[in-house]
Amino acid sequence: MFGEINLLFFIKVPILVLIFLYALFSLVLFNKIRSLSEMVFISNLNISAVLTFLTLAHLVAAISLFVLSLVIL
Amino acid sequence: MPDIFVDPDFKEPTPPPEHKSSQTRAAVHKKENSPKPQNRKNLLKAFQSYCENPKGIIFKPLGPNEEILLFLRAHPIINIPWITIAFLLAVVPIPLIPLLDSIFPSFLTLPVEYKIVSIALYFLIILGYILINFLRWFYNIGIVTNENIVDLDYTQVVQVHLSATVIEKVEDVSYKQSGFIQTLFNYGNIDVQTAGTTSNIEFFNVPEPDRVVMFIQKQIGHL
Repeated sequence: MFGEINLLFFIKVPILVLIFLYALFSLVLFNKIRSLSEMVFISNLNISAVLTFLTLAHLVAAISLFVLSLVIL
Repeated sequence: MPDIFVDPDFKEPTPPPEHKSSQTRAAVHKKENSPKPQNRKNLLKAFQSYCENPKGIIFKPLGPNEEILLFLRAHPIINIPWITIAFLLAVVPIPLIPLLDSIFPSFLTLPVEYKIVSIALYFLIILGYILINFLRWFYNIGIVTNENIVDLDYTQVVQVHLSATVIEKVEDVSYKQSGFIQTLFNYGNIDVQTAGTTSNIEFFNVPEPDRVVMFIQKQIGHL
């Protein structure tokens, strides 16, 4: 029993660390794209706003996965 | 000086009636109504790689009197490798998910929540891979204005490099097109050589490099 718990603990910690680092990376990406969208604005299809939204959705997904992992793992 | 006498019966001489054919008149009409090539503005489409006199773009680092004359981005064909990799990474494992337990027996012993989180993380990483590669292509742009040549490089997630040179400092422009794919899709690398200690500007994989070189040479007065 203890062996199984220890094994799960050693799987859980790296997964949480990985997801946390990925969420940080998503935040950096979002900030970069937001600043680039302000620098270069292309009006067609409102593409700058779409890209900012996509990176924001990516960030939200990463944070959600981290929170979900904290709760269910 | 006022007219002393104006003949009331005098009529302005009318120009002789035109005897142009309808085709000639249509051609003249079209010529008169079409804007001059230098002033014609083209709406820059979201994923366009080459656009002369673009409109619909705002580039903040430019000065108030600067006008964008040429917009460049790498040819879309260079996106094919990462699109293929992303597609394979996303699609190939889907039929394997039910077989994971037999491929990795240790996966069987993991609780179901661990499996869900692992699979979600895998697809999130693929989404990140797609986003980064697309954004690296999208924000890697070159701009020729009436005053400067500007190169914006977004090579890594945390690295943005903006370089510019004044048109007057440009000494030579050349392009290199090598290999079957570059020749087939007509794209190549442009090298803008500048005078003094200013670093050269390079645009990679831009479409129609010969046309770009001619355009820049015209701007610097070599043509």
